[in-house]
Amino acid sequence: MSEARGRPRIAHVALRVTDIDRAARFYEAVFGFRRTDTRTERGRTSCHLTDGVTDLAMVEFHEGAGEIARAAGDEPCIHHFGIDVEDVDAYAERVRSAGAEMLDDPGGRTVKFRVPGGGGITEIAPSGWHARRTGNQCGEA
Amino acid sequence: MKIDHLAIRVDDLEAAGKFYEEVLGFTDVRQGHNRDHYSRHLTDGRIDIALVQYDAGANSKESKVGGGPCIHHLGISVDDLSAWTDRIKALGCEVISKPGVVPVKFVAPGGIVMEFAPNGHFDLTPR
Repeated sequence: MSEARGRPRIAHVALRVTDIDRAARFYEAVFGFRRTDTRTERGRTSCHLTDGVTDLAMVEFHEGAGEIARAAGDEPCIHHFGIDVEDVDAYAERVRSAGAEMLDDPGGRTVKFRVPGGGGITEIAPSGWHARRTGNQCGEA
Repeated sequence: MKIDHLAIRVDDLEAAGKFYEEVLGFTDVRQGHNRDHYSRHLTDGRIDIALVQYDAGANSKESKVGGGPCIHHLGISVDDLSAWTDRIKALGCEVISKPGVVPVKFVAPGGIVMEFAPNGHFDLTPR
């Protein structure tokens, strides 16, 4: 895992909100972020916007979302942020070995965890996974 | 405009910093104490990520956000801090920073805390 080409990059931030459309309109109107995708899957609806670099997701959890829905509490919050890595399995092992608390979020290709020392939920994903700005249809919240 | 700052509220700055640096390869930028918190800034080369630990007994509105370890706020650099602050106030957003404090933190619709900083504030050059 070299530092240069394969350097992990923050590519995604997910906000837990109570009104997806209202929140998305705020980021569109005030900051000029562009809406790229809205989908419902795995017990959550997510509306994705981009600032041209980072995928910003407004997320509402529904019944069936599992423990990840409550992992950051029940209130609106910055639920997690995502880091793209070249090799998710290898990084997941590194993360686990370093003492992170692994979180259960079945059905996806991302791995969520809590970092030692606290600080909310971090996620790792395959490189390009969060590249919603190109209309990528294979991402997830 | 781009998201160029992410602040993570932690309860063990050393452990969290070691993790992001050694496991995920983020680079140290700067650290220090400011007002009621200690922060350590790292970067992935593109975004400033601040690990923030509030002082025991901190009582500012910012220190109450999340109530414990959480992803505390998102930051955006702007060219005119005053104009942008006026703009979000006009939209009904509550500014939670004390007057004169920079960056300016506010609550976006839906309850998410964000901040505006002047361009160049999130310098990613290691110091």
